[in-house]
Amino acid sequence: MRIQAAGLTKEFGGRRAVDGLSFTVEPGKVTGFVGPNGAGKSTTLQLMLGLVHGDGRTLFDGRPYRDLPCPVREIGAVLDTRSFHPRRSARDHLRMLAAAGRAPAGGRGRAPDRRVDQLLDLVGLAPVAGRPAGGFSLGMAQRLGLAAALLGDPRALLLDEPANGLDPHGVAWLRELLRAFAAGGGAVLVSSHLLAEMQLLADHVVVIGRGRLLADEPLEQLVGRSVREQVLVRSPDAGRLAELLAPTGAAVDRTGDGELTISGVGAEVVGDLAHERRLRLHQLTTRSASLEAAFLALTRDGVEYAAGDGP
Amino acid sequence: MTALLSYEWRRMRSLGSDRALLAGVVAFALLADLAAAGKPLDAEGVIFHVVQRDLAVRWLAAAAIGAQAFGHEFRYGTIRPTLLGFPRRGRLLAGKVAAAALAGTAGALLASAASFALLLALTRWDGHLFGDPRLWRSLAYGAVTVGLVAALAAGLGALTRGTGLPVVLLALWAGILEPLAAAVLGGGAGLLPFLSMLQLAAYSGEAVDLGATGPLSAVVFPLCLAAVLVAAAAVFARRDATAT
Repeated sequence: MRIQAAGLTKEFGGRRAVDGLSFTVEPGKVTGFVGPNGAGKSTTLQLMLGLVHGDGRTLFDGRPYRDLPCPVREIGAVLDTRSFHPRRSARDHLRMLAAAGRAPAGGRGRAPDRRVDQLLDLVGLAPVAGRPAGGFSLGMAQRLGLAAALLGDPRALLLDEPANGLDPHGVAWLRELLRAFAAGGGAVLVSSHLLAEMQLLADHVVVIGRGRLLADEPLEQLVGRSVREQVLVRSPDAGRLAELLAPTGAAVDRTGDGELTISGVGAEVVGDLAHERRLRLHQLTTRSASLEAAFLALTRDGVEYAAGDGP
Repeated sequence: MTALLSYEWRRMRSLGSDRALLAGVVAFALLADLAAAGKPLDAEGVIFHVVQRDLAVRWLAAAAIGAQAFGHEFRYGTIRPTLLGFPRRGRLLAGKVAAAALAGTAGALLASAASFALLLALTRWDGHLFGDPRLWRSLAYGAVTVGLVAALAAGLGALTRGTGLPVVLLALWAGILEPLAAAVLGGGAGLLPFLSMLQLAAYSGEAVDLGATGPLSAVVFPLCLAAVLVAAAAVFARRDATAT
């Protein structure tokens, strides 16, 4: 399923939370949706699904969400961690959602109940399926939300911060789950502020700041374009090494006592040069370009809520 | 619509509060019937016991069940997954109102049936009462009025996004405002929404001393319900789906 968002705009009390956003989520790929706090990620997802009203439109294989014959069989979404009645059990919550046509096999007979039990197993909640969901931890609530999203065996997933509250095993499990879903031809749009995790997960990234589109491109392209690879060196001969590197065209920053940050040449050039001139090196490290660095560079001016300098 | 009714049925039956309300209504009827043990009853007495005596309690329980249809959804944020399943808001409102009305009517019929059965065992009455059409008319209308109150509460729940406020509003309306208005209006009070329903459920039109039932009695409450539902549909269609 291809998801096309065009001109999404939403205002709250005269303040534009989402400002003319357009992007496409392709099938078979995980598209990361990143932005600073208050950038409008959650509002955008809600706009796409018609939960909040605004301008613009989102088409799911050419049709708006409300025109899909059985939307939950097409799109699975997790927008809130705790969208359940606290006194209803996890199993009853999913059985109720299954009645909305989420469960495959036509939602008749025992098939939906079996699907519910399968999903409770899949997300690891089977042992607590009969307990009121109000007592669930954040991670358990996330797992219940994911089970709800997967209930209809959808062709696309829209997930808002699904890794929040998951332990490291849970995050790794989620990554595998979403990668497998995309590998099976599904489209995944996932928002997260865990950029290291996003770098492992996403094929494509949509970056927004203050409701506006800042980037919409493959992850590798964004990271490679935004930030150059750097070499970190610690050496008692740092001054001499910096002089020797100057003719090579490398950009050398003295980032501390006996410490250099070099860009423009690789670690092998720096290492070979030090070896030839018999300079001592205590550390020679390559710092790879990261999504975090690219993100920080892109959103420097798009941060809605920034921390102050100190207490 | 079938999926929506099935969804609502699952939603209601998985909530302890709904089950408790239904059990409370039936238990109240049965306990009150014990007071009639051994007494002879005519058709009017039967109707009093199985329909009229408990009507206010049933309306109140129905109001609570109806108000939860939207009140709980907004309070606990489940309105979002619900709207993901049923994105056409007018249809969702219609389905929830219909489900609340059906649940209210079914609950009232169940309570009346249980009460009927206990009275049969405990009291003395002639079998020919069963041939009196006014008995069945009162039973049917009594149950329908409970369903209509549940539907009205569902509409008010969509308007106010709450559970408590619709119940309080309906209790004030039916329990204080209309009796006060009836004291002023006299016979014309039979055209007030709740009192008109009381008239319909009565064994005879004069039973509650509000004047004879007429064609208007049957349409006053449905007209109020329609006005509330139109307003609820307009507001619900424009409102963002956020939790309260």
